[in-house]
Order: sequence, then structure tokens, then C-alpha cells
Amino acid sequence: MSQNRLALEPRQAVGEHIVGDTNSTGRDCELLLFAADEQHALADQLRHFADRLPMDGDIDLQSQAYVLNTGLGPGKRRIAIVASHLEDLRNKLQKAVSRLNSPGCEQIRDVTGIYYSANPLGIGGKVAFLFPGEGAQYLGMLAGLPQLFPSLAATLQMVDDVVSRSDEPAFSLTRFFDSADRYDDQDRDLLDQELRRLDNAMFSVLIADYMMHTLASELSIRCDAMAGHSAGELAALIAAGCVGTHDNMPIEENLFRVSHGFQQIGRLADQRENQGVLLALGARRQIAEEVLANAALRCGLDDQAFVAMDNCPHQSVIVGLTDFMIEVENEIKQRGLVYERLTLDRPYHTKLFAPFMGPLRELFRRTPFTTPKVPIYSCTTANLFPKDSHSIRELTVSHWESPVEYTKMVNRMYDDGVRVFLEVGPKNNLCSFTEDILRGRASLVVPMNVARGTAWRQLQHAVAQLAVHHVNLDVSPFYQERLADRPSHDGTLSHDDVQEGRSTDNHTVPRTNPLAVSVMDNYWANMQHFLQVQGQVMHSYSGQQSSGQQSSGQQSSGQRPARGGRRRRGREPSHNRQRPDELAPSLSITQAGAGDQEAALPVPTRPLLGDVVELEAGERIVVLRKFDLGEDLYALQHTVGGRSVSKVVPDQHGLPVVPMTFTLEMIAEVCERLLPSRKIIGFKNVRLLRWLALAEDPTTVQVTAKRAPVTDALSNLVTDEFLVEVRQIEGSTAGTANKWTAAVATVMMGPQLPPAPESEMRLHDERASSISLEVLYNNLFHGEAFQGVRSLDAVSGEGMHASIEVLPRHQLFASQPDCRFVLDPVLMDVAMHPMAAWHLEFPDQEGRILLPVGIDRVEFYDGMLPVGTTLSSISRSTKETTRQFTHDFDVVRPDGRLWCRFSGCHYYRFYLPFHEFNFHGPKDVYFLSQEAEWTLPDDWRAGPEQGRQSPKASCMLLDVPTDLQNPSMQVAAVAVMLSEREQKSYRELQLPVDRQTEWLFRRAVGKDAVRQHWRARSGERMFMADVELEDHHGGYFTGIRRGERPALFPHVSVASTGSVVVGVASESPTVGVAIWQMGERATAETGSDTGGLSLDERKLAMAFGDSLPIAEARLESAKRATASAFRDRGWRTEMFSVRHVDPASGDVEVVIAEETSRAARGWRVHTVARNKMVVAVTLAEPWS
Amino acid sequence: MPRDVDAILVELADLLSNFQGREYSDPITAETTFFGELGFASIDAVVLGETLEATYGQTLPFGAFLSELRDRQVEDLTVGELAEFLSRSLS
Repeated sequence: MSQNRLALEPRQAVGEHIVGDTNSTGRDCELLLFAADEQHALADQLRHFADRLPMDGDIDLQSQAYVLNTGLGPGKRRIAIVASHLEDLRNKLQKAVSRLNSPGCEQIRDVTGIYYSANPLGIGGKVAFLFPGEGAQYLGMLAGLPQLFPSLAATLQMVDDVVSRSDEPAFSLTRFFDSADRYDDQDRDLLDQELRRLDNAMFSVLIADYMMHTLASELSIRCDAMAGHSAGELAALIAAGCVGTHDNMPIEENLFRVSHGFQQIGRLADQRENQGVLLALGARRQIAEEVLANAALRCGLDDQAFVAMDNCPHQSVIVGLTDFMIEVENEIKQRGLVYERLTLDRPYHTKLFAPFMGPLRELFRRTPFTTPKVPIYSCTTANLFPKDSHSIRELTVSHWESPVEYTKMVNRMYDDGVRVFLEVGPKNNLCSFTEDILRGRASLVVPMNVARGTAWRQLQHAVAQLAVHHVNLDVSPFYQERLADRPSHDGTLSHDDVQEGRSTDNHTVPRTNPLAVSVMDNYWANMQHFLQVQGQVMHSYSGQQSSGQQSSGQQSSGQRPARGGRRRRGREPSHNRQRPDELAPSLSITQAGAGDQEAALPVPTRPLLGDVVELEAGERIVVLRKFDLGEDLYALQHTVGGRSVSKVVPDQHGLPVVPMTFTLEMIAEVCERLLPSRKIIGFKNVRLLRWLALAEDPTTVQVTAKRAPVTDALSNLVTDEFLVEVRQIEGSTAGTANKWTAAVATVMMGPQLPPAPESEMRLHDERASSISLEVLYNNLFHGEAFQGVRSLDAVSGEGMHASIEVLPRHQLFASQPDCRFVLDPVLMDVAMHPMAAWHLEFPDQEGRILLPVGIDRVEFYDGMLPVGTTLSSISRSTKETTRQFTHDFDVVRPDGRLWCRFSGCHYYRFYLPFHEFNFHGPKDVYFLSQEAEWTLPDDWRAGPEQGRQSPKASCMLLDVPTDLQNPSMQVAAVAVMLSEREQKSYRELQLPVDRQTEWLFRRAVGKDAVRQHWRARSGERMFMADVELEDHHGGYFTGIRRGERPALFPHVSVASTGSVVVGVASESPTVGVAIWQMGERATAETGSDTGGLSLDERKLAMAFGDSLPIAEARLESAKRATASAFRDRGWRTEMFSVRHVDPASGDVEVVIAEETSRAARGWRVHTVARNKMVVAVTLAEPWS
Repeated sequence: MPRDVDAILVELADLLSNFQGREYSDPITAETTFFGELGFASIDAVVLGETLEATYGQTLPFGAFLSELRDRQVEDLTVGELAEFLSRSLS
């Protein structure tokens, strides 16, 4: 899984970060921010901080950065340090203190990593994003960033998917974004050449721009204007929301279409003679024009060359016809000017490009343009883009035959108030131009990326400079590994620790990051934190499952569930089973005198309340609630990964998790207990930090609510607000509790609910929905207790209109068949289901597995309604990014008035394979991998020509998506893909995380291959969990149907390289497969012990028309596939050699090496090369 | 008579410690690289050439020097290499 292997490296736990270690993700330094109102106070702060650093040893620099940067105070003066290790930090602190204390110090811009400004330009000055074009791309650009930011990895996966589906699937763009160090010289040269191809160059730089813009958005960097240079203008138009897509085509696909279009134009240009020469001249435009005029005078020729780009006072780009440019070069040399011939040869941005404008106009004719959401400057006119679509299109197209007026444009932007210029894309070409243009004028010009050092390092330096200039942004995406409530007892220093006066702030929720525009607006970074925390919890959960740990004091009852499923147990309700002091002897129940009235009010029995362990009526409450599957039956109706997963064990299901709305209900019940005289009017700032997943053993949750100042200005009915935190306490036999914050929220209460308004949510251009209820619920993981959508009434591009019903509540809790909620969490959950249907209406199903991570606001207007009441759910999508959807929901009563309103429900997007259903769908229909018939020879397929009704073999292939490699999703995958026996084997694996992932997905693909082949043969659909694979080592398995082996049940061979896994199933016991991918090296685990090729084999390889590495890979893979087929004989790859090749068919004859010269026939291996990948398959048929 | 390389190195270190508003606080030695450590871009090299001509009061064959580096496919220029070039070029 090496392509995404870096994302699977064991995350270093808090306190274990190796300071100064340039780890494989390239996170080789950290940014630390400090703020104070005065410069001298800032210097004092740094000095105090330096004094408290340890004299020797190391510190957890990442944790320190997290604590400082997310707890930054509101001081007017800021300084940023970027440091790699403790000593480096100490040195820089010392230098910074010295500089700050020196008279006249107004600015520090030390590129080693110290930044300060007494006159921050982000206050009062505008911020502009600059997008570079062709020429900025380089091999290894942005390397390391996709591993740190899943949204970027998702973009690259999408890109590769787009490319693989194209008519010319010749390249994988992802290779250009891998670190150049992982390739040998030969591969590097090959990739360099590939990158210079016009379509690759264009596509890669546009995708890199798009990825960096995605990152800038995740960091919430403020943007007041945009501009692009040459092809970068396209990236700017897209980022500014100016360019629409056809049929909801993903942006990546649109960029590919554009790049491919340019390639077609380039081919036309290639057919013409006397193309063009480009020179970059180290002088301003006026000098360039003089040079051209003198050369024209000498030659007696006009219109042979033009200034294509006026980049800055020290660079112009001249384009001219080849012969004439010789004169131009002579003129330049005579003047002693600095210049360079460029490798580009297209006469863009000049009259010479006119012949190709037709195809360009056609390319953009079908592209819808709309008014930009952010002002965007034209590099042609140096003014703002017009607002009407026709003019925008015309200007976009004409840019390609007009000179790039970059100098004029930047000057205009400066005149319009832009003071901060951020280059959003690879390299820093535009920054060097911009600095040159604005030399001597107050400005901040920062690249997000440079071609040297790690991409992470430059990102830290860029954010450092933006932060000290008070550009609004949010650094929390940098700290996805950190806990929300990071304790400080391990020596990490907070800002409070270095202030002379300590804060008396007692907030239990993290302090708002003053760098952020809004904490809630930027919650997406927290989702990545969620996934990491979730992953750690899930590993802990897995470990507990295998060791059979139980919480202290738990009563074990009845029968353990058989064969991997979970059975209902006849247990007592949690609140009757355990006294609070058995869990936390130090806690006690207290009541304050002032709250006696509240304390005396009766409170109905609530199903999720739990045991009150501390109560100061009306002020503060602590509650413990134990969750277990014997009592919390609803969780068995809410299982991530799906419900129908096994025919052999019908009870087997996905991972039971407490629904978000049940967490809200629990919070409501706790607050009601705290203040019974008030009603729950609503919630705000809800953040969901981790799932509450229910295992066989009970899970204990602690809910703490305490009074907060009333800040809600929207409703004068809110008289009380409470901050609530939900934490999961994991008990252990050692008695040490790990506390994980699962959710935080603010609850609004008042004497009565507000009057119910009418819903104002309107959808435009509605039409009938094409999604049936059956399809809807086949794509959700909710059981019957939650299936409350009655009809999907209408859909539009904005959202959905549906009818929903209040469902019975008697099957939700074992001990409370007539449970009385405060809210109605089932109805609240059901209200959100129709939007799943809305997502299914779109052909592009990438990233439509959604997980709720937060809600801005929920408002209630009515209490529980009778079972069977029909309401309307009107929902609307209000925001979409690569990693996020935001929806609003109105739940409307029969009288047309609101029952409840959700505003700003934020969902994290997972990118999982979607075929007939999504990942939650029925597992006898769902395949994780895709058919890869292209790997098999024609004569193996089924059909009249082949004379057979079922194929000889079936091949399935999966490029494991990053999201499925995430530990939290993997736990769900394990629950639905593996039998109980296999789950036990998985839990007992003593492997690093990435190897464990590899183990899992090799089996998943093997199962898919077996299922696919068995279905082709017998017509029977099988569940993944009902196919077991008997491991024969080295990727060869025998298929078993969970306890039995039908006659002719397939064998399967599996191979993997990087994140790509391929499996071939056949009745033949000698089935073998091997896979090779450029840049990857085979490993022992993949069963690929390469012996290298002999001289004769290398000569045979040359018969294939592929590039040499691919041709040789065919032969090597053929030998490995044969070794896999004969694994049970103990034959290894080096025992084989290739005797014949048939380039027309791709077939290769493999023999035992010592028998090469004998007459005995060898075995046929079929090889296919595609997308810089080679797959070899064999059934060990005799060569003919 | 060529200028002394070591003396030029000292002058360059002083110039480059704060060049066009970009500071570098670590020691600048003959091995310090322009693009990798000092954070230069190609435009900066052109500006540096002009600055050096103004500093030393004479025209320098900077263009030819950079062309030669390109031809040799030198990935980065060191301060020491520049000092040697200046030592040869300055009279």
C-alpha cells in the first residue's frame, strides 16, 4: 500500500514524537506563534518561554505547537518561529528576543524561520491568491502533503480514476506528486519527460493549483481577490467559482478535459513547421521590445517575434519563429543581458497562436461560466474580469493569443488595496515576479510551495508570515493528531504558562483560536482529528475484543453471541446495575442551597439519562451512562458498514454506533435533570469528535454540563445556556481511565418553546425523484426502527422534499419499551435520510458516504408527536467542498409550521467505492473492487465464441482508497467483510498498521474475485463474510464457503503493489497473478521475490513495444505469477525463466529455468500493461 | 590583480544577510547555497547581479556566468562559487 503507505504509518502518540526527525511524511519542523500587545511584552514572553524549555533531552514540538497556536491570545503584535528541534527553537528564540529588543526593529523576515511585523498588512490590506500556470510543475511537487491532508489524497485518487476512464489512459498523474527520491535515475528521467508533455504539464499544474487552493480553504485563509498567470488563470477562474461543469462533472474531470483539449491543440501545432522558440529575458518589457526592434531592423523582417509575457522588471518572455530568434539571441548577447531558452515551444500569448484559437474556442464553448464569487483579475486586461458569462468566456479564450500583462495586473491589484499576495500552487515563480514588481512598496508576498525542502516546511513558513500579518486563517488542520483537551502535565507549555499573570478562565472547551474567522466555520480540520482519535479508540477496541477485557464491576450474563454476531441479552438496565461509586469512588452527589427549588422538581424517567454522580442544581451536573447492546437495542439498528452482511450468520452486522441524535437526546435529558423548570429550546455549536461505538462489553460515558453565559441574541426566550461535554470512559482492569471527548455542545433552555414559524425553505426547479425508498435504505445502514421516510416527493439541484413519519419507540431500549424522550431522536435522524436520496440522484457518487461532525444550530418548536404522525422534511445542501457537505433541514408539521429546524449540519465526506450500492449496501450485491476483465485473455472469457457459459477465471482489482485505510473505517469494514474466524485472526495479527491493512484488503479482493467467479458459474450471490480464504502463504488462497467447500469452489491468487490489489479466481488450483507498478518495488509479503532478468530475457522483452521498464516488468511479473500458481510445490520465482514471448497477445512462455533449452512445453502467462502498471495472470496452461 | 576571495566572502555574507528585505541569520559561509538556503529565486539572481555591479562599480559578465552554470546543470549556486567568480571578474 506504499502509495498511501505514509498515511498508514503508526501515528506517533502524544509524547512520543521524535523531535528533529525528518519522518517519512516530511513533517520536519513546526510553527510556533506568540502574541502580545506590545513589542517588548512579546520579547518578554519569548524569554519566559525559552527559560522554561528543558535544558536537555527533547520536547514534543508538535504538541507544543498545537497548544500554543490553538490557544493564541488576541495580542496586536505577533511573532512566528519555525523550528525543527529543541536546540533550533532555543537559538531562534534567542535571536528573536535580541531583535525585538533592538531599537528601530519594525520587521523580521528571517528565512531561517523568524517572522515579525509591527505593521501587519493583513489589517486594512486585501489578500489575493495567485495561481501559477504551465512551467510551475515539477516532479515531486507537494510531496508529503497528501499524506498529511486526506482531502489532497482524495483529489489525487479522483484524478487517477478520471484518467483511467479516459480514452487515452496513458499516465497516472499521482506519480508526479510522489517524492522524486523514491525513483531511481532512469524512472526519474522517464517521469520528467512525461511531465513535459503538454497535457501532463497542463493537467498537473492545474491539479496542483486546485490542491493548494483546497489546502488554503481548509486553513480558511482569507481571500479578497484572485488572479492567475497564463494557464493559472483557469485555476483562478475555477477557484473563484466562475467555471461551471456539465452534468455535475467533478472539477478534476473538467480540468482533465481542458488539459486534454490543449494536448489536441498541441498536436495540431506540431504538424506545422517552424514552430517557435521561447526566451526568458532578464529585463523589462521595454528592453525586450528594443531587442526585437533591433533584430527586426537587421533582418528586415517584421512580426517574427513578440513579447508574450511581461512578468516583472527583470523578466520578459519573448516568443518568435525559430530562424528569427537566432538574431534575437545575438542581440541579447551583444547587450550582455541575462537570458535563457525555455523548453516550452508553444507560441501562446502571441499572434502566432491565432491559427489554433478555433479549437480553443470550441473547447470552452461548452463550458458554462458564471459570475465569480471572488473578484478575479484578468492577466490580459489587468482589470477585473467582467461579470457576464459571455464576456468571461471571451476574455478567457482571448488570453491565449494576448500577451500576459502580469506587471500591469499586479500594479493594478496593489492600487486596489491588495497588500498580501499568496501564491497558491507549486513553486514560487509568481512570488519572485510579484516581489520584483512591488520592490520598495509595503507588501507581503508568500509562496505556499517552493521546489526545495519539504512541502510541509514551506507551508509552515507561509502560514507563519500570514499569521504575523494578521491574515485570518485557522491552523487547526495542522494538528489532526492532537486530542481536543490535551493535558499539560507532560510539560507542554501553554500561553498561560508563560504569561506573568495566569488566566482565571475555567472553560472546559478549547479556547477559540483567534486566528480563525470562526471556529465552527473551520471544523473540517477537526474531522481529521476525529478520525485519528477514532482510529486510536478503534485499535483500543480491537485490542479489548481480542483480550476479552471487561469493565470493572460488570456482570457477565447469559450466552455469548455465536459466530461473530451480536445477540440481545437479557440484562438489567444500566442505571439499575451499577452504583456510581463503583466506577468513580471519588465522585459524590452534592446539591447547592440556591438550587433547592430545581432539585425538588420531579423528573420523568429518561432512557439515556444514566446515573447522576454530581449535581449542583441549576449550575452543574455530572452523569455517568453505561451503554451496552443488551439495553441499547437501537444501536443494533444503526450499524456502520451495513446490516445485511451474512446469510450463514444472519445476526452479523456492521459496527453499532450511537446515532448523533441520540447523543443530543442524552445531552437534553442531562440538562433537563439539571434544570427541570426549563425546556430545551435548542442546541448550538455541536461538535462530534468521535463515534460512540458499542462493543460486546459495556461502554461508559460521562456527561458534564455547566452553566454558561447566555449569548444567544436571536431569541429572547433563551434564559439559560449550558456547555456540555460528553466523554467516553474506557474502563480497564488496571483501573486507569482514558477519557475521550466524544461531543461538545451548547444547550439553550427557556421557560417555553418559541412559537412555531412556517418553513421558509423553498426549492427551485423541483422534479420527481428517481430514487425509490428501497434504493434509499439499501444505501443507508439504518434498520427498521429508523426507516421512517414514507415518500421522496421532489428533488432539485439544491435539495429534497420528502414525507416522514413518527416511528414507534418500543424496540429501542430493552428495559423501557415505552421510553419517554425529551426530544424525538428517531424523528430527528429520519429527517436527515432524504438527503441521502438527494446524493444518489447525482451520477458522481464519489465522496457521498457522509458522517455528521457538527451542527451550527438546532431549534425546537414542539415536543414529541404521536406515533404515525406524518411530517415533511425539506432539506437543502448549502456548501460543498472536497471534504465537506453542509445541509439545512426543516421538519414541518402537518399544519405547515416547524417542528424543528437544523441549520448548518456539517458532514465529512468519505470516498469509498460505489457500484450498485455504496459501502453500506447489502454485502451479497456490493463489491469493494472492480471487475478487471482487461487483464484476462479473450479465450478465458465466457461466450459463444469461447464455447463456454462461464469464464475460466475472474479478475477483480482495487486501488484501496485512502479513506478505507483509515483505522476507524477499517473497523467497520472488518465487521462486515470477515467471518468471525477471520475477525479473530485479524485481531491477533502482530503487524504494523499498514501491514494489517494490506492483510485485510488482499483478502477483501480475493473474496470479491471468488464471489464474482462463483456467481458467473452458479448464479449464486454470496456475502463477503460468507467466503473464507484458506491461506497457503504468498497470496494464494483456497476459497471456502464458511464451513464448507462446494465442489469446484474457486481458488484465488492475490497480489498487490502500493495501494493496488488484484485477485484472480478460478476452479483451476494453479491460478497465479502478479502485479507491478512503476516506482514500486515488490516485497516479500506480496510473494514477489524478483530474481531479475537474464540477458536473453532482456532481449525477449524488447520485442514488446513498451518502454523498457514496462517490457521487462512483463517478464518479471510472468515469472512471479507462475511461482504463485505453484506455491504449494514450494517453487520460487528465481526457478523460472521466460523462453518465448508473443507481443501481439501479451502472452509469455515461462519454464523451469534449467529446462529452457529442452523441448518440454512451458506454461502460458498472459500479461497486460496499462497505466504504467503490468498485470500477469496464469492458469498454468501449457504454452502453445 | 584579482580580489581576495576571502574578503569577497565577507562582503557577500554581509550583503546576503539582509538582501532586498530577506534576512538570513545563520552563518553564511562558502558552502551556503542561494536557492536552497538563502531562498533565492531566479529573478533574485538577476537582481543580485545588478546589485553587485552597483556595489563594485563595474559591469560583470553575470549573464555568461549564469549560462555556464546552467550548461553544467548545476542545481544550486554556492556563495563560495560566486565569490570566486567575483574574484576573477573584479579588477
